[in-house]
Amino acid sequence: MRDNLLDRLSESLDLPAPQQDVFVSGHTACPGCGAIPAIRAVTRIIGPNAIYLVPASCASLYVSPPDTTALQAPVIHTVFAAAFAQAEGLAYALKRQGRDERVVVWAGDGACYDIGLGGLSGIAARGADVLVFCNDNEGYQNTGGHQSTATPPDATTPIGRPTADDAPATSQRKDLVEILAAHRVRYIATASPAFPEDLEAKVKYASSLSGFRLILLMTTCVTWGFEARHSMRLARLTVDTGYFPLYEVEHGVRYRITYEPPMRAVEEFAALQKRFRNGDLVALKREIAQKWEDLRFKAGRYPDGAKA
Amino acid sequence: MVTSDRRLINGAEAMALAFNLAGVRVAYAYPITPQSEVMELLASDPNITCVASDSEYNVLAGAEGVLWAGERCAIATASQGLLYMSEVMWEVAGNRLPLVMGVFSRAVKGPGWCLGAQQNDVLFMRDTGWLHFICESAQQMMDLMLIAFRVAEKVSLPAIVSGDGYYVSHQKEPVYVPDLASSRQFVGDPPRQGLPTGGTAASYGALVPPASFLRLVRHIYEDMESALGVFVDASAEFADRFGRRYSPVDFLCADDADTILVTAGSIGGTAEHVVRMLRQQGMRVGLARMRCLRPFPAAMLRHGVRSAKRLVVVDRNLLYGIGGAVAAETRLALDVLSGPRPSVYSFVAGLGGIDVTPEMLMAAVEYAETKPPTVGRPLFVTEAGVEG
Repeated sequence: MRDNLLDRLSESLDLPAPQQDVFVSGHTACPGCGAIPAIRAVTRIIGPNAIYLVPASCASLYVSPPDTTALQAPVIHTVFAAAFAQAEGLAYALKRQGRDERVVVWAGDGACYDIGLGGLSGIAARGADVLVFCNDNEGYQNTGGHQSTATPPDATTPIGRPTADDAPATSQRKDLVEILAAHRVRYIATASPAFPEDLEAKVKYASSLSGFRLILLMTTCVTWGFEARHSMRLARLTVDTGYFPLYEVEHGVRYRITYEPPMRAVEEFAALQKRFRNGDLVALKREIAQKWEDLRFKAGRYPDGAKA
Repeated sequence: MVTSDRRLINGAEAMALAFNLAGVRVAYAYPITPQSEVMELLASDPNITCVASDSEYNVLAGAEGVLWAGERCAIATASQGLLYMSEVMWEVAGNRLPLVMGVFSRAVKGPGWCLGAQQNDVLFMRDTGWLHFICESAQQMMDLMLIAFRVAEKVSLPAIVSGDGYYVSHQKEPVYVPDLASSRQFVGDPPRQGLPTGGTAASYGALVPPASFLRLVRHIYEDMESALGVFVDASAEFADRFGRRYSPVDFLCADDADTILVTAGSIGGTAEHVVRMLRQQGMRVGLARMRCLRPFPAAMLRHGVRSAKRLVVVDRNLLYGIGGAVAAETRLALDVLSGPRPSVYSFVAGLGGIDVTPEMLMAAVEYAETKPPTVGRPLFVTEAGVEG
């Protein structure tokens, strides 16, 4: 129940009523968790008429603490690799029953890039009517900041260091958007909670479509080694340094860059976090340059734009 | 009025038909021998949305999703496929989703590939919270599948209905197929209360404190125990309607028997033949056939065999460090008897799909009637006889 000044103002000014928060207080995420503004924004846009699935992740803990839940919609907590197929099965059953709830997965990079990649690939290839959010905080942060295949080059984690004689450390990470683009899925986008208008447009558009859709969210994690107060500043820098491009891909081929970053120095982003202290950023800068070269090439193929 | 159609079909066809008769509208499929025919039949059923999934793990996860909507789902697997599902099996039971899964047992890849029948795949799942009914024929597959839906949905736990690969899955036999209307009436509608609905805040399977976890686990334990009574009631109604009666453990000539053969699965048919033959020769031999392995009908088994001198348990499975699974559970079932109790002889036969012949079962009976039981290890029976 919202009965505040803003509501009454918007009524008197004949503005559209503000959307209700679906993710409310009571969660147990860390101070400075970059996923919270993201999940708030996403769930507010999608609304409560949805069934959410959460595989093993921080969200298994912070969304529904014992005997309560911060999400004002049903949420199914499941094991690490099972959320994608489960969402697909649910979507088929709802369709068979003529129900209209949306099926939404809120998964981390561990579930999407690593242990659940087979399941994600499966439902992507089958065009399941599921909207997936990959909350990419670049590692297994819940267990203590361990390396995933989304962990950037030059970062140090408790199980990997960016040194030449340490073979298991990541020298390059997977590109999830490209993996899914190769599946020719209906819609893929990247988004950041630090760019709320861009995020809102993408979530709204994805919600209006059916079939497989995935939005990759870059969210900051205090395990990166920064002060909580810098969380949103870092989130902006992931985008403004070109480290995390904002773009979308339709049907796996139509690319559109949705924000032109000022390309601030990546050192500015790296210096705020402890995880890059052992890296010289050479590999990271090369990755960023190659990503933009590839992205510009692909975005230029269809000048009509992604939605044509 | 109940009408039954008598058809020459195998266990795979019986399983697929049973899913159809139960009103299943969604199926998840992934091929594995000897189950693949079930999948092909489900995919060709125009009333079923059949999803060709990418692994057995995701078959079970997909089916779990279907069940979350209060919708039934058809799935079947074997061997490696079942093992691959095992993580999700705990969760499906924990979420109290009454999924019914068909399994055609096949040896698991240990020392090498072997595609023959062996029950270690299903027996590995004994602790997961799934009910487990086991068949020896295509007719039993048809019937126990329908009964399994009733029991699973009544106690809110998932169920495996298994048969030995090839012996049950591939062998054609005349099967009475009940008509659609009577089957649907018997099975009833799937329960839908308490499941996720858009707009209603609720969390499922979230983090719970240890005290709550204990409470939830104990509920599962108690409801699993109660499933025996539910099976008996459902089975009685099934017998009234369709004329075939099943008990969690079916006895034959056991009342006055000195020696009782105990089997689970396809060996039961051969054992029945052997018991009738030995009875004709005047030997006091009986038979106990397990239909329900989870929950294990310990009291019923104990009551039925209490006056016998010896039990000859023949297992088509081998638990490393233990021996035969049914023998081990039979020993536990007898544990509460005070005073004289039957000696338990544990025989292991037919691993990897080797045929278990009447001669092998007779050799086991003869061994038990002339020699003391071995302690701590099973006896292997082959065509050459009992190996000590």
